[in-house]
This record gives sequence, C-alpha cells and structure tokens, in this order.
Amino acid sequence: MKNNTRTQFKKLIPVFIVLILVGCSSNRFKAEKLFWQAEKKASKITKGKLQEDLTDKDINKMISAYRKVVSSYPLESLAAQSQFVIANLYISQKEYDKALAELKSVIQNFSSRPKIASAAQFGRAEIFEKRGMTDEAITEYQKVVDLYPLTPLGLSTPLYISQYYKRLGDTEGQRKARRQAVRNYKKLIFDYADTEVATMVQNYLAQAYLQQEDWDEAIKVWDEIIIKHPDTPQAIRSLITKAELRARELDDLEGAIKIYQDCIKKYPKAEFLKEIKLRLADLYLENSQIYKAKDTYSLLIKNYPNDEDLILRSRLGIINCFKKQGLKDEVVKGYWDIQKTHPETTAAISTPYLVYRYYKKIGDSQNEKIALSRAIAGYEKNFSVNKKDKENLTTARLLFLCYSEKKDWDKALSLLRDLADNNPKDPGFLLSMAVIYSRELNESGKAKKIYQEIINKYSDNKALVKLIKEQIVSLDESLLERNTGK
Amino acid sequence: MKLAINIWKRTVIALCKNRKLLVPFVISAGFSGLVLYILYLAPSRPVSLVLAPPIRAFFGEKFLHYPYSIYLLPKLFYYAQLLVNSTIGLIMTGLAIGFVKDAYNKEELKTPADLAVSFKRYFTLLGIWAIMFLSMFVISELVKRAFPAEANQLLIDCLVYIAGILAQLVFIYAMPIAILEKKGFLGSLKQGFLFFKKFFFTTIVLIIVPAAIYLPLLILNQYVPKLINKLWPEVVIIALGLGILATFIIDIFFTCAPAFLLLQNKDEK
Repeated sequence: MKNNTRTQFKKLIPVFIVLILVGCSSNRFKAEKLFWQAEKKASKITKGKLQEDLTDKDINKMISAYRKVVSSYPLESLAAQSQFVIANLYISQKEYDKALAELKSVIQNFSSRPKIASAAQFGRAEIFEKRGMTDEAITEYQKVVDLYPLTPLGLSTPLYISQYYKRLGDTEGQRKARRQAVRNYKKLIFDYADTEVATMVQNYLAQAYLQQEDWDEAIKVWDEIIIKHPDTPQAIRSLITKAELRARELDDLEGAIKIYQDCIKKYPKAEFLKEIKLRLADLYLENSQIYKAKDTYSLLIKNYPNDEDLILRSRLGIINCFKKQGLKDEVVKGYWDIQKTHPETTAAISTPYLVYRYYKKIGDSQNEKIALSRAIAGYEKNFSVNKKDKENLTTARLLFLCYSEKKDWDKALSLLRDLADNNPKDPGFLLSMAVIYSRELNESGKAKKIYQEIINKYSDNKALVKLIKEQIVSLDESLLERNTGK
Repeated sequence: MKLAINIWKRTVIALCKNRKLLVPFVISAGFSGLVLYILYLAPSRPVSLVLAPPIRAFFGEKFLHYPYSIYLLPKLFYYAQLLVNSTIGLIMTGLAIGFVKDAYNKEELKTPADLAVSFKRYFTLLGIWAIMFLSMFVISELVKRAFPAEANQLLIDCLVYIAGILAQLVFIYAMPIAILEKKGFLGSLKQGFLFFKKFFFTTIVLIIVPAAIYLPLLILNQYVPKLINKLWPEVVIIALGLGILATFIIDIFFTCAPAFLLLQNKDEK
C-alpha cells in the first residue's frame, strides 16, 4: 500500500513541475509583450508619415493595438502607459472628450499609484488648457497639487500654474498663483518638518521665490538648507545655486567667488570638487582677477593629471587669461600646445581654425591670412574622403569653414559633394550646397537642382521633404521678386 | 570511407534494435530544453527570484523586460549549456558509451551498472571535456581573429564551427576509452590521440558528415535579426530549439560511432 502511494507520488512529480513552470509567465511580462507588439504596429503605421498625414483609420488601428494591452492587463503599469498613448491619439483627432475619459479611467485604475494618477490628472488639465478652458484647466491643475502633493508633478504644478497665468498675460492671476505656491510649499515644509521631504520641498520654495524674482527670500531658503543639513549633497547644491544666482542675476561676482571659496574650504571631499574649482577659476577670469584665475587653472592641471577633459578645459581657461591680458603670442602658443598635448580631441583638431579666428578677432590681418592658409593646408592634408570616423568628419567640417572664410566656393562645393556622396544618411551636406548656391553665388537654378536631389534621396523623411519644398517655394518667390523688380 | 559507412550502419542498426540507447541523449536534450524554458521565464516569478539578480548585475535591468530578455537568451543559454554539458551531459555520455558496449556484445542494456561506471568515471570525463572545450574555444578564437571585422559573417561562423569540431576530433576517443577501458585522465587522452592518429581519415569522415547537420542552423542564425524584425523576437527561441534538436542528432553520432569503432578495432586485434 505504502509502495503504491510512493509510486503514484513519483508519477505526479513531473506533472507538478510542468504546472509550476506553466504558471510562471507573469502578467507584467505578457503585458510587455503586448505593448511591444502595439509599439511595433504603431511604428509600422507611422513610418515615413507626418502627424498630419495619419488618417483616422491609421489612428484607430493604433488605438486598437494599444487597447489590447489595456483590456488584457488593466492594472499593469503598461496599461496606463498605453492609455496615455491612446489619449494622445484622441487628442490628435481632436476627440478631447474621449481623451479626458481615457485619462479619468487611468486615475481610477491607478489611484493607489500616485505617480501614474498624477500624470493622468495633469494630462486632463493640459487638455483643458489646450482647448482654452482656463477655469477648468486651473481646477484640474489644482487637483494635481491637492491630491498628489508629494509626487514630482504635485510639487512642480504650483510653479507651472503661475507660468500658465504668465502665458495668458494675467498678471493678477500670476501674482496670486505665486503666493499660493509659496503658501503651499511652506505648508508642506511645516507638515513634514525634519524629514527629507521638507528639504526637497524647500528647493521648490526657493524656485517659487526665484519666479517672483525675490532673490533675498530664495537665498534665505538655501541658507536654511545649508544650516539645517550642513553635510549633505543638498547643502552643496544650495551653495552652488546661491553662487550662480549672485553671479548671473545679481552681477555680484565677488559674492559668488566668496561662496565658491567657502564651499571648497567646507567640503574638500565633495563629489564635484574639481568642477567647483574650475567654475571658481572661470569666475576669477570673468572678474578680471587674471593671476588668481591662472593659478587656479594651473593647480587643476597639476592636481588632476588623469582627468583629460578637465586639463583641456583648464588649458583653454589659461588661453582666455592670455587673451584678456592681450598676450598674442602666448594665446597662439597655448592653442598649438593643446594640439600637441591632446592630439585626439576636437579642440586639437580645431586649433588651426581657432588660431585663425583669434587673429581675425584682434584685427591682425597679416597673421590672419597666414593662419587661414596654414589651416587649409593642414586640414587638406589630414582629410581623407574615404575615412568615416568622427575625427575625419570634424576635419572636413573645419575645412569647409576655412573655405567659406576664404570664399573659395568651388573647393567648398567640391568638398561638400564628396561628403554627401560618402555620408548618404546625412542630408546636411547637400543642404549646405544648396545654401551656398542660393545665398553666396546667386545661382537659384543650381540650388533648386540640389533641393530636388535631396527630395529624391530622402523621400522617406517627410519632415525634411516638406522643409525643402518650402525652400524651393521661397527661392521661386525671391526670384520672381527680383525679376519684377528689374 | 568504407569503414566509416560500416560504423554508421552499425550505429543506426544498434539504435533501431535498442531504442533504450537513445534515452541518455533524450535526457540531455530534454535538460537543455528545460533550461532554455527556465531562462525564457527568467523575468517572471518565481524564476526571477533566482535569475533576476545576476541578470540585473551582469547585463542590466533592461534585459529583464520584453523583448530584451529574449535577445539575451542565446548568451544565457550558451553559459547554461556549458553547465548542463559538464554535469548531466557527461553522465549521460558515459551511460551511452556503456550502452554501446552492451549493444555491441549483443547483451541487454544494463542501466544501473552502466550508470554506476559513468558516475565513477565522472571526474575523468570532466577533465577530458574541459580539454576538448578549451581546445575548441582557443581554435575558434584564433579563427575569429584571423578575419577582419568586415569579412562575411556566415563564412566566419562556418569556419569557426568546422575548426571547433576538428579541434575536438583529436580527443574524440578519449571518453570511450575512459569508460570502456577504464583508463585514467592522461592515459585516455594519450591512447585516444594514438587511436585518432591511426584512424585519422575515418574519424574525420565519421564525425564531419553528421556535424554538417548544424550548418543550415548557422545560415538560419544569420537571418535571425531580420526575422525578429519581420516576425517576433520569439524567433530566437525557435532557433535555439532547433539547435538543441541538431545537437541531439550530432551527439548520437559523436558518442556512439567512435565507441563502435573502438570496440570493433579491439575485437579485430
């Protein structure tokens, strides 16, 4: 009897295993599969079409593909994502009521997931805004603030409402909204005092003061964060924002420099210390404290020998110091040094062109000509039509700029033709050719020919074709104007 | 050539007469299929409890979602297959060689006894398998590196596959010798190599012809990305499933034919 039971149990083991494995495929995974299929179908329908080219039939097909996800797995987050897509498709059909209903269903299905529900609520408000129904829009936006106060949208919407009033030109409404935003943030800070939420909301409060251009109050909020949470990343962030406010809005470079100096002293192990030091050097330069700027850049080069990017930026900073001092030879030497020390970088490749631009800027016409010839010779030597790497393309672009500066349009056009033939995915070279023909050489016929070539080659890119057709029309119009003027 | 045809004939007749001879190969292929299914379920619970953390750590969160989880399957299956081959696969190979001996002696296939021998010789088999795998890996890498990146991928894949098979051929008799003559690791390798040298051309014909079954799959693999685009990502699973089927057939000839040749040669002596 016992043996019989054991044998029967053994026979059932594979059945159990199969049952367990069959039951494994989760709803999330199945929903992902359906969503992927919907995305694929949608991309097939929209391929090569502009939004306005889509027919109602196309849109309905897409809606029914996404609807499958919603009806099969209504509580999966991808169902919500599908409903957002459906709502947008309804909006494109101007079926606003259907879009509103779709978003309402998201709010109902995902009431326990505030991030999703708040996005749907915000979407409803946007629809009213789009339709010009201001009161309804404001009511819906306010719901985002009241119902989902701690979500990213709940926190940013008070600021958005004030911007909305600004766009409407309603100064009184904007003033009220700003006051309301400040009240809202202060209440949240009070409700969640001494928690991380309070610190997060304080940043929004500072933003609200910035919107009001109430710089002092914003600085007060940041100071509070720095005092309350002195050793946190938020404190460093607040210090930096405060410094930037002083530098950009209050023209107080001295104040900004002092904050950065304090920040470096207080947080010698801060994650972005080298960036802070670089910014301090830039501010010294801006404030005409050339020697301090040079010292700081030099120290950065010395202290961070492995950070190629930082060293390059510091070297460029030192060149800017020389520029401000009017040390022409030092500036040029600095550029050529970069070419030697950072040969693989864009800055190094750009050096001959930058030297030429510098001479041009300071009005040294003799050196300007020499530098341009030297740049062209160098770029012509390094450029190879067949190579397709990034450096070669950068060289080609710089060579084109040099030809343009020299107004050597024959060479510029020949270079662009080579580039267009070797980079068939990039219509930019042909576009530049057309621009040279139409604007520099006044050869509208040739420009139109090039535009036609773009249309033929990139017929799939509807947006580009539309733009080119507009260019051809404007070319025809200007030609007509010129002829009738004659 | 004649000898090779004679051995194939023997193998097919033995398989027809003793269906049980197929069992070890069915079990190996079955395990591979099961592993493939489990890997397919990796993003779903409860399999995800075990597999999701390493996938997340080594490949990224993206590969726990459709369709990327499917795109990752060939890589994961390759690693899992190594594990299956070096454990259950080796035990089943040992058992199959034991069965071949029983069939050759016209005796009844003795599962428990042959299985016991296979278990006893496991570490010797594992050593031989490791040597075969390493030589195949090194040769394949050398062939891959010999071609520039822009060379025809199908040609490279075919050459890599053929080179891998040829690299394994040198040691193809080592496992049957370890089981049938109960030799140690080095002894099996040495004797196996000498036997391979003696029957060089016969071995090549004996193995290369069934190995060619895999070539259409290499061609199919070239079109998998296009098929995914046109049909669905699950094409990857179909390709892997066909790979298991082809391996099942190839394994039968890779295991039974050398064992029959070895036994026949011993008798002739």
